[in-house]
Amino acid sequence: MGSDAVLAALAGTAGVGRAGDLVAPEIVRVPSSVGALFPHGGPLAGSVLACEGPAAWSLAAAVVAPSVAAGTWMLIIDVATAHACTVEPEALSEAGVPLERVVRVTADTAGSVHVIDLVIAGLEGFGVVLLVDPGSLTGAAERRLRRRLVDRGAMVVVVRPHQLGRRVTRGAAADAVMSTSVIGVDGIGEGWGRLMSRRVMVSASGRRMHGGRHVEISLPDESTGGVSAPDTWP
Amino acid sequence: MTPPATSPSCRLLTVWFPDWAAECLAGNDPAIVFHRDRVIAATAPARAAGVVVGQRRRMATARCPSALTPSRDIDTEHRCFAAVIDALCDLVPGVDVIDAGHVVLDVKGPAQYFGGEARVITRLVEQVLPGVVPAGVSPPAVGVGTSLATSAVAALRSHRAGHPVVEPPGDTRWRDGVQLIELVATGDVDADTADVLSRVGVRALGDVSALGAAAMSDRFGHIGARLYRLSVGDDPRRPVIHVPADAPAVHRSFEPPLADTTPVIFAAREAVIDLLASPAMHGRICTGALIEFGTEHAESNRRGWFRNEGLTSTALVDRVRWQLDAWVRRPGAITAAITTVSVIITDTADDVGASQRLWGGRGTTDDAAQRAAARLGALVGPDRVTVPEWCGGRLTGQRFAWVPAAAAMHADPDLDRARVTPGGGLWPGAVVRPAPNSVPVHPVAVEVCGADGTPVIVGGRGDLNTTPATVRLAGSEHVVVWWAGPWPVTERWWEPRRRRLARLQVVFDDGTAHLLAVERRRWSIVGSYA
Repeated sequence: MGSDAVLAALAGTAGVGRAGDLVAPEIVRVPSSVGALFPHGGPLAGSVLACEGPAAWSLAAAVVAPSVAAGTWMLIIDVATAHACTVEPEALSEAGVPLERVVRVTADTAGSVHVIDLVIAGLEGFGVVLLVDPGSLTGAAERRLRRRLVDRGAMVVVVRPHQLGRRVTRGAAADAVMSTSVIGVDGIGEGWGRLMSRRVMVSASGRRMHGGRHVEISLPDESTGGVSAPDTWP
Repeated sequence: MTPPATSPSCRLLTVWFPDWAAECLAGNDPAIVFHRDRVIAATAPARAAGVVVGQRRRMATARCPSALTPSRDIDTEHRCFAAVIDALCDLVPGVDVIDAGHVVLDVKGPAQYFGGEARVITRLVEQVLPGVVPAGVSPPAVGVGTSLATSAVAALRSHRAGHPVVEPPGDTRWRDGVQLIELVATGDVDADTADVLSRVGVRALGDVSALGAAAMSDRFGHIGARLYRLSVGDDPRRPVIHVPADAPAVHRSFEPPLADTTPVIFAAREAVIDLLASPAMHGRICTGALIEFGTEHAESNRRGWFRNEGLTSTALVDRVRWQLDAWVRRPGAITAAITTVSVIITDTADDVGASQRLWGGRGTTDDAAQRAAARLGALVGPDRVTVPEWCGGRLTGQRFAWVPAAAAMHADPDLDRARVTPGGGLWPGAVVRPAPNSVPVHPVAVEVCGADGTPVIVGGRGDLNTTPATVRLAGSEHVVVWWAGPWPVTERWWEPRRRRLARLQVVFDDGTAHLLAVERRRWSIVGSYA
């Protein structure tokens, strides 16, 4: 190759590409069984995940546990508290979430502060935001959220729990929607034993997940090593 | 890899353009560059109007309303600064790039060649730099010291004094007079540490050296030990001209040679990721690196990069890109395709984590979370921002309570951990793991019936009158597939407010599982395995 041609070729390509485009995307740490659902082996930092179905809470706890255990703080924004349920810290702890790095804020949907403002304020200090049944978000609010999420490299997990007697609302568009269906239970029978875990089929769909992916996992996952009060069954 | 300590005869020269970020973009026009609404650089006209670094955006724009406020463009800063680096590299062999507008070079050899440090400085300021610095950029601050830290402090003082500042070789009094607040400005000490030390009367490096190595190390850990080394002129960081023999390195060769920068950067990216993940870097972070390119005509480009806070893979690839970009754009510098790229780690530091603080206390992430919690409290009210606290108990929803974060969050992680650690003995009769992960704010009343519609009753001996078959809730009926229990519990049997209830686990046909409780023959859902 002639020198002039080389120079021209090199000069023409100078300055192309940013490190952000070139460096491998930052993958959020999740259990390997859940990571198998994602093309990169886990969700990308700055993404929105949604957990739905009868095991939504268990799945969400399993997804966030490794990040919080690694030092990230988690914020739970509980929008549904006024009319339904609240998260039980003991279950989070059993899933491996260190409770000392968990903060919960209960949002009043009738109040003047929009839930998106809470999420954005939370992203200033929390790496993981668990958003419980937030309802629908406007396009502008979602764009604001996404900009901030990408800036912070944080993760938002939207939990849309299956609740008796209530329809599940569709919320913000997620990068990945993980739907759960229970295919079996362990430990419990007709009048004997106790519920130890559930075998859950998780179906993921969303961006870059063409055709959907499925994985069967056990929730709660005993391998997470969560800390809980001593077992003292009657 | 153990970096060599600075020798007493080490002489480092810092060239620093404090307002490079603004002046390379706007030159002689009034301009201010902000970061997080604080001034980080301003051109001379803006400074003349009263704008200073650290000022809030509102105040700065009020002082100089006509100023441009361009967004910070790090790529452009480095592209403009490449000519300055090239000119310096022509003068001295070892140049460490700290940032755009900030370099450190080993001046010992050039001083011997040119006849003294003063002549090197004069040559730099009067002959070399004016030819390559864009119009409108203020003259640089120039400082000479025996270590990176004192050299940076000398440059800081030079910026204030308006003339080069030189640390006299062999004179410890100058070093002893370096204030910790100056080291905060140069990034060698964090502000909190300096604040703590100043409150106990340690304000200058002389005070630190007077305390002694053992006292500093015992009381302030690795930060104290490092400060003591700085105070006696034993800065472990050195310019990259001195590459340790056992330095971790990666080399990539290209066959055929590459006439495109993009694949070179890609290859460097892969190499850097491998390098930082290598066992040699276990527990350490890269703070200095040497990046070198070669062509098939044996041309090479070699540059050292340094960053106190550490060079991540992204930061290293950024530097590869900046260096390659500048080399390719330099007229006559490259006449053939690229054949090699090498990345050598020349300096490392213990990976103590950005979040760790004095005595292992709360770190930056903890502080940020606490600030964010306070901000949320201001938005929704402090009572609505809560943290979990272990209370103990047998019943679901009672074992942990959500208490206001403002009162319960501590400044000490150990106390926070104690807050959520189950203790206070065993609780016989409590629900074993897994605990329900969703608890109704108020128990949801349900009817539990047998196959023939008979209400299920728990007898005095803890037995059921019939097998649970359906659960009716708000007009809907759910079929019970699996069930276990009942498990009776009597609380405070010795008190008038005693409670006697029984719990039952049920799994519905839709896969949902719940914990039911019956008290005074009234069933309710007290928890859900959601």
